[in-house]
Amino acid sequence: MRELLHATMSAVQAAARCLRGATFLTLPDEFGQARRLRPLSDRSSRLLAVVRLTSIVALILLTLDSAAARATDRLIFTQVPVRTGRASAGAHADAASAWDLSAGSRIVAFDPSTSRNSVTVLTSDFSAAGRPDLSFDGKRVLFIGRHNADDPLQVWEMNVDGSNLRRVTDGSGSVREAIYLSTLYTLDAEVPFYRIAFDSDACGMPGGCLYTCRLDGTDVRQITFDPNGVSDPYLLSDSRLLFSRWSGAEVAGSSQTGTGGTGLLTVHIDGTDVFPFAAMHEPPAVRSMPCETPDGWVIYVESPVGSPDRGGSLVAVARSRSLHTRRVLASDPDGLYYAPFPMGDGNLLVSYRNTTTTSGGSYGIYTFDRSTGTRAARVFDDPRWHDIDAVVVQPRRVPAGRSSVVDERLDHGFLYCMNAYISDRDEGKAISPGRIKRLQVVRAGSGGAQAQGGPGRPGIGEELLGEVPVEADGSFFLKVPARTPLRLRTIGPNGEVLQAMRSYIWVMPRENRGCIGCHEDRELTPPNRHVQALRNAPHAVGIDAERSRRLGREYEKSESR
Amino acid sequence: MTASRLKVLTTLSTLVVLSTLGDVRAQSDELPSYVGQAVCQECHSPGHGRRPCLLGTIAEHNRAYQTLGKLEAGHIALVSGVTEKPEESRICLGCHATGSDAGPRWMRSTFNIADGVQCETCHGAGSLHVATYSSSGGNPSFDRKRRISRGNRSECVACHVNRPSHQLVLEQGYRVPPVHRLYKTPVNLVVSPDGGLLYVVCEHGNSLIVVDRKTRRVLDEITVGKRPHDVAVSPDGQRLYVTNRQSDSLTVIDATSRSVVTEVPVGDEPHGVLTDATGKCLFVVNTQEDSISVLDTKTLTEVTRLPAGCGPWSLALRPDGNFIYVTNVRPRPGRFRESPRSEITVINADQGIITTRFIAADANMLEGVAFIPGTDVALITLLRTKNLVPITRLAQGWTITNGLGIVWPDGRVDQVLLDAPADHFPDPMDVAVSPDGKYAFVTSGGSDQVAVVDVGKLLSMITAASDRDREAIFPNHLGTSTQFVIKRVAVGRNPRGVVFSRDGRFAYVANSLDDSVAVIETTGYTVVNQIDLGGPDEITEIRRGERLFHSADNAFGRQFSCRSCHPDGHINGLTHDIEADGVGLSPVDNRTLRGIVDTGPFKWEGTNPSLSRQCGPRLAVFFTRLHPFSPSELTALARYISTIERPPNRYRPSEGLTLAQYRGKVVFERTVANDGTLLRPEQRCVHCHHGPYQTSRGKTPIRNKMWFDELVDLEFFDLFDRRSFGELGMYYYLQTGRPPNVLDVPHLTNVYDSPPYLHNGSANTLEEIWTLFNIVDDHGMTKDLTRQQFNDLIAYLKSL
Repeated sequence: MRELLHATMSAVQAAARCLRGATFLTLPDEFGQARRLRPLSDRSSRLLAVVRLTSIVALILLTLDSAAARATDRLIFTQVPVRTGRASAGAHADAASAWDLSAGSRIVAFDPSTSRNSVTVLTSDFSAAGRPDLSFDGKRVLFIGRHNADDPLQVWEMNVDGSNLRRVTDGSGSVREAIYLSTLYTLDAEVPFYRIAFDSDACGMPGGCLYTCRLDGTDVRQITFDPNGVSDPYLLSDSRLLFSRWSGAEVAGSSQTGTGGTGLLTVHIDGTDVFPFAAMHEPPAVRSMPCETPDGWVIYVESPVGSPDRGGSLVAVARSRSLHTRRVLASDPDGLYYAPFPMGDGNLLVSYRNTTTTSGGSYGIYTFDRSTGTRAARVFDDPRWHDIDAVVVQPRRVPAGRSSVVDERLDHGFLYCMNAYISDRDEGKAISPGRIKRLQVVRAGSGGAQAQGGPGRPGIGEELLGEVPVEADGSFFLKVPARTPLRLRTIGPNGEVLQAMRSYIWVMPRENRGCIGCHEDRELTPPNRHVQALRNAPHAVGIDAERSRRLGREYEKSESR
Repeated sequence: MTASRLKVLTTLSTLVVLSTLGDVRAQSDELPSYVGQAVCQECHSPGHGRRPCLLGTIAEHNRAYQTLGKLEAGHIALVSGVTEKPEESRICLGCHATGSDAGPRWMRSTFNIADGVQCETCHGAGSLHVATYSSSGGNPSFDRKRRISRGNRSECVACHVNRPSHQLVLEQGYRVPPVHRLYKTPVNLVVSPDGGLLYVVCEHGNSLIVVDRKTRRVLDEITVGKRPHDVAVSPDGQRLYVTNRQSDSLTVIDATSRSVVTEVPVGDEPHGVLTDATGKCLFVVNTQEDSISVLDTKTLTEVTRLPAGCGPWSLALRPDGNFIYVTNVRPRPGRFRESPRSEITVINADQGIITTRFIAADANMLEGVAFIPGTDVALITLLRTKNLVPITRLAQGWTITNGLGIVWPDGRVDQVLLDAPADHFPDPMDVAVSPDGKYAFVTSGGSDQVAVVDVGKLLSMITAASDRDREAIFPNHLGTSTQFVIKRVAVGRNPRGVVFSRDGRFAYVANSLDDSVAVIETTGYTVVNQIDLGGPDEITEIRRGERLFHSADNAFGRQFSCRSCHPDGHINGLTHDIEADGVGLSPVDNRTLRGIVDTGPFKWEGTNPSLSRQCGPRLAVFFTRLHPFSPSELTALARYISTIERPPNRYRPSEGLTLAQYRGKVVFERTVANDGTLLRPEQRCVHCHHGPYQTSRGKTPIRNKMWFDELVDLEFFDLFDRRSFGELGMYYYLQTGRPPNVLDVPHLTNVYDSPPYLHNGSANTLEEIWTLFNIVDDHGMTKDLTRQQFNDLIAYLKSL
């Protein structure tokens, strides 16, 4: 922005200098000394003044445009072909659907310093390609693509100039997005190792799941198990993986079905500790395409539920207090924002299209001034293409890595709660001490809540895994199957359900997942108490005891080595 | 206290001491002293008929002492946290000389310590042996066995082991860079009464730096004692008082001439210092002694010593001048697995007595304290460590939260957090309130920031809140701080002390690991200057490690640093529930980091052979949860930790062990019980606790496992009250024949200053180790000890 301002000021100063010289033409003589020419006639003067003013305006416009380009350095982005003659809704659909890149989509490079509206195609061999993510050193690009229209989209990697293309994943499902992660470290690893994350429908859940793998595509691990489906992974600077999760009733906070939209959650890159991040108690909408600015704000796009195009308003929350700092950065009734990207100065690159045109418009790339909430300048726009997912080619800081207790050799994890009476929900607050007697653990079956209408409703395919006692202080301690979507219900003295989770959680192998209460205030910290449940062995629920023992023995044997 | 009363007290004390010395002389005849090798050789040499020593390397052993004078010895001392000269260090002398454990009092005039490792190292002090032989008239059949140890080659390993410090210096050629001595490390500061000068205490520089506040330039640097911590200025501005935590002293400085007037002794590890409103009385908190010295500023003598809480840290004078509040970093001893309760000690400044003790529940590490001008309300910095909650995650403030306490005149202590949900405020270390009482500045040592707190908003929020909100929500809520924290200002590395200028226009922050003072302009809360205190630009490996140790950048959400549990490299007095050995099980006592490099293996399970291992993979996986330290970071961190100094032992008189301590040493080293039966090796203290650090540096089985140390079928305990964890829990293990614990043998140096004890912190005192938790005499044979023997043993342990 500062560069832009500087360029504008230079142009204005140049214009002022020109205007001051309106009466006389001043040219250098043969010795390089300025000499004043004789005055022109009034008519000639007026003509010259018009020419001069026109030149000044053109100069300012040119300066603004080139300044904007300079502000972004080299860009890589996706171009999705605009199909002419389609209705606005159709334009929405083919413009920027995050779920399926249409045929002809491609990744291009654009260098504002050398070209204007001229791009270099980096994925010419692909039937469709898009969603570029830049490596931390700014030298490689991760993207999804397919050579043939019938192939599933997979993860690929290439250098920023398009060379050294290689395929990373080779799974059965179709990948929608892939990003670089920082390092993961486990006790059985020699050193921390880099991974990538991607969302894929290989898990069979309608909305898809998040996976991670090594950079060479090996060691694939599923890290989300929510039957509602997740998407839009983004690595925060503090090592958490932010993602968008479809919800049924949870977001709505009521019993309405199928219109939950998405909320933003975080999970560690080892799949542990899934936790709400933002938009958990707000009106239904789709929150997607999050990114984090250097000053700690997370920007995402919010669009109405049911909109085929996920373009919408730009919303910001502070990473440090994401559940309570929501503010709308830009909401334009005449247009849609798409795929914000944080620039080093705290401002954004963002795609925008004007929806008031008859064709529905095409996305172009703009700089966005966060302080004013406006698009500052157009960087690139080719009306034949939707220009989206822009990234600036430059190194960026590597987010913190993760050290993990997860051990893939085991099949169970643990879940403990400090006090089930702690709750911020009305029904939870109304439970008097001592009333919670037991706890039911329910596992989600196949199928997704999004398709079926939300957790707990007919068709979701739930199975009661078991029922265990709750201690007098409200604590409980469970040993549960890992990598399994679970819901918990507290049961009263007469067998009545006192409180039921509206969404699913899971534990990873060897994870000790701790909860303070049953849907407590998410900013509450645990009371410093040694709770009764932790004085005993955990209650095993839904565990194949023999298999678990065998794995445990093998595990201990390997640990002792 | 009147002068005449003081005289009487002094006289009485002298009489007591003299009578004790007389007692020593009288009874020491029954206890062996060291006679020296020359006396031994009078008989035990080839020409005298007695069997000479079979050891063929006597001469080499004798030269061991000489090596302590070499340059390398100084470097070894530096990298192993030894504060004394090697020739004077009990640790070094433990292997390089004889009799150092007992001290000069127990060395006869014939003994020469410069003879290095002598006969009595293996055979024990020989005076009784010599005396018995003499009294027998030279009869060769006198009862030698009762008077001298035969010596055992297996004991050689107490010294002949690989020591990381020695390997580092002697084999790898490591040298502490000379520039390392030049760091300043400013920790606390004060503004002169006229507002013109800033006095900055520099812990590493062992100095007080005088800064011109107007020009922001260093005017002078005054050398004080070792590791100064705090400074107070007399109300008239003429005198400066600096506490020296390593020297256990107070340096008195003439402010006009900027010269040291005198250095007077105080208690163990003095930290905070403060004068009363009149300037007549001086209060010094002795952190490791849990006491407060009250000094007369005229005579500079200690008038009285008051009992503080645990780990008194700093002080503040109430604006009316009547009371002084003292913060305490360690919680009071309590029941096992009770949440920590820390004390704010209240002193009547006029009478020099403690009037009351306020309690901050669920809090520890109470450090900074400041009153809000014009009120009787004080603010204190604190941690709310969740030591009873398993460390299984860090989100939601799961492990440590950081906050402020509001101490009301009636003793109520409300608490609020300075953390945000994903951005903590680690290690709040000091607080200062602006002269107009509107703003409080709090330093965060772990995040290099200062929080600007709107005091009005804070107090309004609390006074308007319900009791439930005050007691249960605010102390545990990560979102509350947005209501009263206006801004976080980035200052320098590891900010500690903070002070306002007299006019309140500026605040000054000691950036301890940048050797600078940040100047914050208080209208815009921006740093307008960094005053360079003159430390070197070069950052040594040790210094880099020190920065890592004090930074929370390597913990998820910047929740804590190493220092959060190890203030001054020591302990926080808590036990923690670590995930690795089971949730809810096996709580582990936090152990000191002072002078530990040669005491490995580490961890209570003894599974980490080196500091690098200790701070490496498992720390990242089970504590910080972010990427582990890089190899170079790990080396730097381990290097720094190894240099954390072990303060001199205050229970150990410079002239040597007292009579009781020496008797305790005899009990410690005994091989036969009181009834004459031979003790099994594992029943002897020295079997595991030997060598200069009193550790075998290995693991040993010990039957002090309790029911919460391991996951077992607890139906048995359903019949009982599980809270009676002690004997009942151990009884279960003993009766069922379950395997004993295999634990690291802890070193015992300065063991007196690191309660609680045992691997799970279940013993609040040294005495409780045996009175409550040694049911079958598996942790040394103690059931036959007389009360005096037991007390002597404790006295000896405290001297180690």
